[in-house]
Amino acid sequence: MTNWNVSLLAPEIVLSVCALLIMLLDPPLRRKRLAGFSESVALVGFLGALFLGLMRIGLPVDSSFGGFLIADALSTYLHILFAVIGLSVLIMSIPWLRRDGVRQTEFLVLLIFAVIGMMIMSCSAEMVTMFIGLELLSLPLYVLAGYLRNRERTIEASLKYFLLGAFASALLLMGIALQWGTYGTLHLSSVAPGSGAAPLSLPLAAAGFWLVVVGLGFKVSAVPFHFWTADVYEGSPTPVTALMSTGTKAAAMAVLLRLMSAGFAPAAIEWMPVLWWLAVLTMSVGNLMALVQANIKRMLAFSGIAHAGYLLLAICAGGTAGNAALLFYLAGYTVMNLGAFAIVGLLEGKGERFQSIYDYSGLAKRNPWLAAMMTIFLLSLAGIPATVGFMGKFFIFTETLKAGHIGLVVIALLNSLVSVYYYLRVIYLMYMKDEWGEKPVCRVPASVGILLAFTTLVTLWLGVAPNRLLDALMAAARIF
Amino acid sequence: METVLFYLFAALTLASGLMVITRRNPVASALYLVLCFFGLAGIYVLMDAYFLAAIQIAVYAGAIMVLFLFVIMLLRLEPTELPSFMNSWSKRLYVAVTLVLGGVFLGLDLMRTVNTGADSALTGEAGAIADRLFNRYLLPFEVTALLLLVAIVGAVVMARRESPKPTASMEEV
Repeated sequence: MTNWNVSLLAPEIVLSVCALLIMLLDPPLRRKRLAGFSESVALVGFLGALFLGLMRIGLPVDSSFGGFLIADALSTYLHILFAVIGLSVLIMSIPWLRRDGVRQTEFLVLLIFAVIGMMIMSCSAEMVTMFIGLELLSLPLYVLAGYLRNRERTIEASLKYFLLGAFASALLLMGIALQWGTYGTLHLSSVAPGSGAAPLSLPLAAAGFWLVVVGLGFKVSAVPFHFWTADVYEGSPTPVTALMSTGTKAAAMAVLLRLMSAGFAPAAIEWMPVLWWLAVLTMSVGNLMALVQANIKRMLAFSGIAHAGYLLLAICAGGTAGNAALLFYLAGYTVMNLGAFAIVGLLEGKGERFQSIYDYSGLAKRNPWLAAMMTIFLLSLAGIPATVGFMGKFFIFTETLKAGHIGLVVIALLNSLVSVYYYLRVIYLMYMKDEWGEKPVCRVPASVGILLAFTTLVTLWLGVAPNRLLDALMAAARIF
Repeated sequence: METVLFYLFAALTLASGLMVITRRNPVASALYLVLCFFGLAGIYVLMDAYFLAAIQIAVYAGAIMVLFLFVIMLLRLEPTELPSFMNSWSKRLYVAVTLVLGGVFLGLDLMRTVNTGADSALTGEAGAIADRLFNRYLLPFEVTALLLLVAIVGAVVMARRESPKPTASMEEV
């Protein structure tokens, strides 16, 4: 008989209930001027989801809903990661919502639903649920990207994101349909049935597989499918950009990981060359384009593309250790990016005026603490030792080397060198240059201060003592 | 006979789908969309999925399209130049992608493999579909409920007029 263990969905349920509470109770309470209700509920929701995720650590693998839902170490890890992302974006967005006088109820509701979508994606064991999870993640982001509707740029970003996202979803859905047509099953672990035939030997199945990869490639902004990234990241409100660059990427990467290292692992020989080139292009184009950006959000967008390339490298490496390296890098990438975007959000000022990298000139004199933390995040993104960025790259490159892709590692190392230039340029501006025009003094709200302290500490701690997390992730990296 | 009908309905669906996205007048687009739904319903019938075909006509071609037309007429959208966000280069890219995909599928169709994934739910019975929805596909079904809720919230956010300086083009996005 089918197993309907709903408790495996506990984090999602808690978050859904919180979103519904906000929607139901905010309007009457707003009239009574009970400020802070929605934020508190959202905060409680994310903390609850985080707690429930942490409670699942160490429990045996379980599945529910007739095998549609899988609760393994990977999904537990990702639930925790997404809860942290949700919490951080919430903390970042509250000062922004106040500063720019934006309506917050719908913003919080959509934020919560986007995080639920990520969680569903990470624990779905077959493609229909995965797809609906992806849509549940994308739909709120389309709206959030254009949340400030009185600004031309955000409208353009939202429209572009929506159209290209819908295009990617269509390709993904087409691929899923073809998979279903050939195999009659959509389970990620057994897409290729035990017929002994190579999974991609049937042309229809191969077409389906590649369409799925292209669809996911859009979401992680791998290079031939990256056109939207910079414009959308620049145009969206900064907290939303943080959510896109960390959450979406992690969720799509996790699905790609499940797909490549479970169901389609036997076909590695066929997809490896393509993935190889995808990784090379993604790293190189991302880093080279980041060199010429003068807007900090565009720069971080291209740097995010480059980091997606490093993550693809880990998929090429494969194996349990390679997967663990990927998951470790995801944690590191998430933390340092959240930190960097939090600082960008603080410094941009009302109306998001100060987003040029030259606005960071002389920051060390104005806000020494912010400058120091930004330096740590940028150094970590560049992969300087004693930061999590270095450790993550180290693990990924070693595993890729072990898997025998020497050329790939050489290209990745060269890319890392290139990337140092544009990260250091911002640091140079912050410390060596004088202030560029008159800037308002940036006051750091306590909540964001705590978030920044936390991300800084994790960045440094994982850079010095990565072993505990890596060992824990070895369990998550065994994918069925 | 069945093959002829299939190609007929497929051609109808594709042609009207093309018309939907190329018409300047939103009302014409909406009417072509109705035609597109009819073509799809025909294909469902050929697959013996009578219930799905009936739903397709009643819900999509009927109810939803009527709402669409209502909205379009209430907003009184003029057949204007929509702001072009894509340059001609990316337009050409999309045409190319479509053609390549079409070619690939045509090629694949010629060396078609047997479909092993036929689902017995396609017998046309409402009961079989309900069984699939509430048993096997319960999880995606429930998540879809959340998805619809998000769509409603998103639509409300996008349609709200609160911007200090609303411009005409923005209200329609």
